[in-house]
Amino acid sequence: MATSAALSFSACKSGLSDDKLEEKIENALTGRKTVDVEVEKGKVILSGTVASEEEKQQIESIAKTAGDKDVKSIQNNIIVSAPVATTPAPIETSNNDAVLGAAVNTFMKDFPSVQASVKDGIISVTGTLEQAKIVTLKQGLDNLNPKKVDLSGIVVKK
Amino acid sequence: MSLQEKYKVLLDTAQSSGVNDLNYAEMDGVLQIRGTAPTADVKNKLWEIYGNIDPNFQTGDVVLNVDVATEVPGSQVKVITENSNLNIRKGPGTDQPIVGKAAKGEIITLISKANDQWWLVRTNDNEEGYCYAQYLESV
Repeated sequence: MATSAALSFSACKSGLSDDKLEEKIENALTGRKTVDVEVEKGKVILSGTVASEEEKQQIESIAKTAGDKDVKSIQNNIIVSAPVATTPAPIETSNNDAVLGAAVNTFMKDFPSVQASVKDGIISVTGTLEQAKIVTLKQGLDNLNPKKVDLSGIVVKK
Repeated sequence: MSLQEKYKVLLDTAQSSGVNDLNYAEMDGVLQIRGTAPTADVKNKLWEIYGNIDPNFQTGDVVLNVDVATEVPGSQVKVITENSNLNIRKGPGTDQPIVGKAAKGEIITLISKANDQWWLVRTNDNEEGYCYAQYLESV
């Protein structure tokens, strides 16, 4: 899909700037989040990490096709690294409001100027808090693995 | 823009700075991120980046729970309270009696982790008890 689309719009144009060329190749590689593209005077530098040698070569050929005549050369610095685990364990979030609520109440004793409530795994906090303390609050609440931490009800004091 | 795009710099930095077992997924409109940072500095850097993308964490579209690898039993940890002393308690909970205090900046020993929130520590005066993990950082 990406290959044929790239061919059709690169067929009759040449002399693209590095930025445009980079954009074009990046578009062709959409979805390959672990790969980075850089272009310097028509030289395409690919970096990042992929799971197999095949994928590394495939990305190079996609980049070559997408850039067409504007590509002077390709330096493929992509590292092949076999995935450590086949599938990472699913991320767990709290699904017990009673347990989460108790942990939140314990933690919130250090923040008397704000109040927290828990519903469906979501922690909502309201009140007034100094800006410097917000990161401590958020870190502590995130450590409890909630589904969400809603701090939009906090008035931030400078 | 997907959340993974919005927080690309954060995820990329986690990857490039050696966060172990990095795991992230968008769940119910929230990007859940888990992992183990090699040092407290890396963890702090990730929080700084997160705070730059979402000032004061007002959007609430990320839950970032990153441990620090060097915070293991037997290691030294520093008390990072804002200005007060850190209470050391008989058991893991604020309902437990206070058995000692550690000063801000004091380096104490991590003995074990009762859970993510409460760690068993020993001070240099050989006081032993539980304190809140949030106020400890590896050295």
